Amino acid sequence: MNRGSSEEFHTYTDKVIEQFRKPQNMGRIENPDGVGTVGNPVCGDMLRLFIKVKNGIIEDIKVETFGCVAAIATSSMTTQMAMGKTIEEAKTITRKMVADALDGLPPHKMHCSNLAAEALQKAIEDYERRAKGDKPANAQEP
Amino acid sequence: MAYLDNANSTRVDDRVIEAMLPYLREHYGTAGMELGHSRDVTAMRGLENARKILAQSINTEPLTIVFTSGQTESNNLAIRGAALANSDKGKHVITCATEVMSVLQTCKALEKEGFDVDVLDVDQYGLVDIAQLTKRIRSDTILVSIQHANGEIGTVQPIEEIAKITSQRGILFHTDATQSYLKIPIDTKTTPLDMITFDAHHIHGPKGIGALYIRKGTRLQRIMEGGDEERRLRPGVPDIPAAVGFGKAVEVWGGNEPAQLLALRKYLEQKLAGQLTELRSTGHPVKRLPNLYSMIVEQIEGESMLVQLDMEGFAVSTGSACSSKTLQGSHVLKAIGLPPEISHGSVRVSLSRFNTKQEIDAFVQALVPTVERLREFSPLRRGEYFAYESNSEDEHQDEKLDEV
Ligand code: FES
Repeated sequence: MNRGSSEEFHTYTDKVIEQFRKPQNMGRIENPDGVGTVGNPVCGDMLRLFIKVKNGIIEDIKVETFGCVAAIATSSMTTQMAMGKTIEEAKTITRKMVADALDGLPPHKMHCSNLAAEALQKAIEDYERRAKGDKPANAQEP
Repeated sequence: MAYLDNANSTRVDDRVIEAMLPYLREHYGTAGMELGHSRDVTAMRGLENARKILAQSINTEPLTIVFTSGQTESNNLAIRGAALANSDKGKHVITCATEVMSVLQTCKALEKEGFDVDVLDVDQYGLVDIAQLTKRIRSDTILVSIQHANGEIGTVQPIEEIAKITSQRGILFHTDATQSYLKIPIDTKTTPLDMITFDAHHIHGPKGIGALYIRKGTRLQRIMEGGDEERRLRPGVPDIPAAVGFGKAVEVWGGNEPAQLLALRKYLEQKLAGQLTELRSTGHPVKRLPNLYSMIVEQIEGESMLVQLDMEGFAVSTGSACSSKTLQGSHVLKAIGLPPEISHGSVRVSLSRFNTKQEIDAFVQALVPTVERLREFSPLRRGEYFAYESNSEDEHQDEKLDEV
């Protein structure tokens, strides 16, 4: 059993804690233009990210996260980094950039930052697929 | 503010600290066997008095108690010591999946040394199945090690029944009673237990001191070489101040404490049930430690609850994979059949004599909004479980490796 969080707590930067306490853009978008869903098989966490795109620009973005403090903080940070960006700009967002924007993550938590960045890339792929007239990636999409 | 992680460790009682101080300041002899001077004699009296108190608490003679450095050492000494000393009779050992690491890893190490180990499964409540245990017993079984109560989910194993089975067959039975000690009485005269592990820091005593009860006539080999201290089973100068503190902790334990702990836990359970939905408890509903409540808060993850609660001054635990450095969830929650996305929501609350109803009220008041906030943005909120997308597994594994 993993006890008292203090050890973990102190290994998180202030920025991570700040994002965890007041995460931005959490939730879902009805009728999104793209959805990216990631499950983390390492520990069982899940994340779903929604984008709304207008004229090639991400005009709204939201995320639902089931995971640890780092997963919630990186989710929030990723959406803030992608909001208002062009699709091409958003494609360049990596987990390293997300982690750096949070002043780093504890080493064993680096994989969490991957969840949000990967969900963003998947949402973009889904958007591009739909733009081409293909089926949405998530057939059971809300 | 409240410390609700007493299954992890407890606050040392002031009476214990007071009892220990003279043994640090004045009676700092080593309680050597060859009595030299008065400091040694006083130190030895303190040590032997503590041994007597411990012995009385489980209805045995002082000679059967060996002081160790704690639960880990007691478990190592019991299992390895008994296996080595009895290997002429056989090399088969039985334990169960929800034991602590010092039991499971010692058994694993013995396996490498040529012993055969059977690890019993448990049911959804964490109970071992007596029929399964009986079936696994072989002619070369020498030792069974099954804990008294589990520290993560609180489930209490039927050690009386197990002891009956093992004693009839001449098999040694060791039980790790660290979590249950004093909370659930053990009587060595009525239950034929061969070895019992217990320690001080779960009962408001100091850390670094534990004991192993060894029934008279039990063949045991020491696992560390040195002098003749502690019945030649545990060489080295014992930590006398800590042993004295251990004795004091047992002495001041109140007979009505288990009932009080149970009442407080019931109060907590009722409050939680009234204020949170989609909550389930883990462990056996009735056969469980009086002071421990282990639950799954569905749809959200334990580490995030823990950190939020910690910021508000409440200390609890979780078995969620996310809160361990290896990202392995609790082996106990896995053993009772919970998949990671469920065991993620694990929260354990464990009480002590220092907790009050007011603290429970404040805790529930902090927990409820925490849960609501985290559920607000959980993708599992609408009961939509989605399958992992293909190919992500290998990617994640690789990435995890490069990060480490
Ligand atoms: S989400 Fe599981 S460790 Fe971060």
